[in-house]
Amino acid sequence: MRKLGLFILSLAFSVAAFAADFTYTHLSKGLNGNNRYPGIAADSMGRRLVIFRSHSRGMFYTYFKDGTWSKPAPIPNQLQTEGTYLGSDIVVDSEDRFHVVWELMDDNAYYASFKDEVWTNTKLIPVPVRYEGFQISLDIRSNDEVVVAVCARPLHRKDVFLGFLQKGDSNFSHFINATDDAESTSSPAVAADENDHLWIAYKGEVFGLGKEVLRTCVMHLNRNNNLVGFDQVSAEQDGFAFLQAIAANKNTGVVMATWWLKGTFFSRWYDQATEKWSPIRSIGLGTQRHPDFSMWNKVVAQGKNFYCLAKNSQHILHVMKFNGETKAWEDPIRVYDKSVVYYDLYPSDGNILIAFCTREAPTQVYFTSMVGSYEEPKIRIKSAVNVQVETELERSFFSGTYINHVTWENNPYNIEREVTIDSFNLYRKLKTEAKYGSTPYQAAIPASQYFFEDKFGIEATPLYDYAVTCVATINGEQKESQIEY
Amino acid sequence: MKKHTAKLIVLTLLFMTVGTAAALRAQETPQPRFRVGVYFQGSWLNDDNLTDFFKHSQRNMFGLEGSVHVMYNIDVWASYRRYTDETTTTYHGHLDKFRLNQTSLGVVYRPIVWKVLEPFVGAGLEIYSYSEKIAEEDVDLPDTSGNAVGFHLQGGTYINIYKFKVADFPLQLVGKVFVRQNFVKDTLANALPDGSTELDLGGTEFGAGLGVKF
Repeated sequence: MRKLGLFILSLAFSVAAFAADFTYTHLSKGLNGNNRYPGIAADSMGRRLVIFRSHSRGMFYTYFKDGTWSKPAPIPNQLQTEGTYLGSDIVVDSEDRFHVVWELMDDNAYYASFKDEVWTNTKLIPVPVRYEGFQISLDIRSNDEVVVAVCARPLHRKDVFLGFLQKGDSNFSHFINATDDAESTSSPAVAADENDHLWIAYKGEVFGLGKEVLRTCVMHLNRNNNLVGFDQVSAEQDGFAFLQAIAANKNTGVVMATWWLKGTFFSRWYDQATEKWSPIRSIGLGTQRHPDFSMWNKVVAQGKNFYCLAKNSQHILHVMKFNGETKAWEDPIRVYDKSVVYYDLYPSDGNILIAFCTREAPTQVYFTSMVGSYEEPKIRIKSAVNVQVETELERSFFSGTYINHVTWENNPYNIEREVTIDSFNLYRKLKTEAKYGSTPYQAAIPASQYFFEDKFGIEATPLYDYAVTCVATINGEQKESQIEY
Repeated sequence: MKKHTAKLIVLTLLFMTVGTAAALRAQETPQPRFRVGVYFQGSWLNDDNLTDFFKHSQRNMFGLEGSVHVMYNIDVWASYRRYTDETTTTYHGHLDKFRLNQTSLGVVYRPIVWKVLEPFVGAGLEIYSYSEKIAEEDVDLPDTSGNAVGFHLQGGTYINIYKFKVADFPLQLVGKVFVRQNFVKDTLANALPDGSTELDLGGTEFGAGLGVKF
């Protein structure tokens, strides 16, 4: 009897663990035919962007602002709308610009960016060899450099390529063949950690074992994209590891790799503090290998935790939380009661945002969300803008001295986010110097003052450049914005 | 230019003091020994840099003068006036004051002494001190001062207006009109902001005065 009581109690907790209240927003409402393959992201102001493939008009988007989703519309200036769409990904830079990639299977991948409700022209991502679709992945470094990981086929075998989009550029460039080996490597995912190192998970073919083995591999590159480490994280497993995903937790330094193998989703995490990989652990969900090969999973980091989105054999979507304290996956949470095809998730302001498409034709795109993990508010400060220098002559009749009258404006980013500036720091460098020094030329300029008169070493010919950073107290700690070049 | 000016002055002085001395001796009649007076004049400095900077090509001012008759209708003459101007500094707009103390010392020769008019010519030294001060504290520009010496030539006429007595002391009210050309230059140790090192404080003065002789 006592055992029965305990069983009922444990069942109650178990049920509670599965319970989550989801509400759904029908994003593709009013669109005919099948709408599928959504991707989702949100900016620092909580504005959200969802993209998805429409029935016949290419990629559509809808934008959430001020509590309302916009009417779905085609992404303008698409270069190609016919084909088999699949993977997509979105990242958001420090200026709240959404960077979006999507692929046409075995054909091409495209890039466009979106800010203030305006799209840039769509660009063909110039992968240097033939594109090989099925999974495309983005992440962004702290300097807003966007990194794309794709699969391409230089010769007979597939390789993982990385491309880089510098801030202000209109397309990716400087592609590198990250794997460049005799075996085929594919389905890459990329994550940037708190040190701007890159972690790339992919499916790697292993020769010489007497049979075909596909392993989950993780490559670690430093901020200069040089190889730091490489591991076959599923090496102790036999069989085919498919559809790798990876996320880097910038708060804990833990990197999480996930993949599907033999009907189960697995994970392994690397602690950068101890420089050790964990044992392989199931994430608590599995799915059989369906003919449509839809064993996707997506993983993101939030707070000290990770969240993984995957579906079971009945195509029912679940979210799994990896508890960063206990180092264990918690019970799967059912997201939607009907079967789904494709999905994406994004951590935003303590919530996990989810976009998915249903399985039954005509497939429809929905949005939902759940409470995630506490995140320190991502209050960023940006440096002053519109820094202008006027060289002025202060003269009496007999004497004269040149003064550089430096003026600036607070960054609209700070104003928009109501970041209270404590003071400004002004940096000076010779025009012949590449970088500003680390010590301000003039520190603690009052926040109400938007000018500085530099009187030392000034000549009629401009010799100096100036940068003005903003200092603000965030969570009791003074933070200074970075100098932007 | 400077040498030519000096020669001219020397020649003029020689002409006045030597060449005409004999002829003048016969004309001289007893006359009051002292003259003192004030005058009002317009002054035009030669230095375009300076006048452009202070935005005035001409300034008006009062001056003091005195002379002592020594002999042969020749007076030793001295004068003082102060040329001032002000503007603001180009960037901060601080008040910028320029002052030029002009002292003249020379001789005046009155070749003809009529009842009313006494035309005169004269020459002598110009002794100047100048200064510029910014009327603010903690300014970026230093105060500047300096001295310069040069010469002048002048001409005009005294006008004998009215004789009267004060406590039985005979006085005569005298008017005066004059024009004076000054030749005063200075080389600056520190160049001006525009690179110039020459300061031309010479110029033309034109005015009228009122005084007494006794």
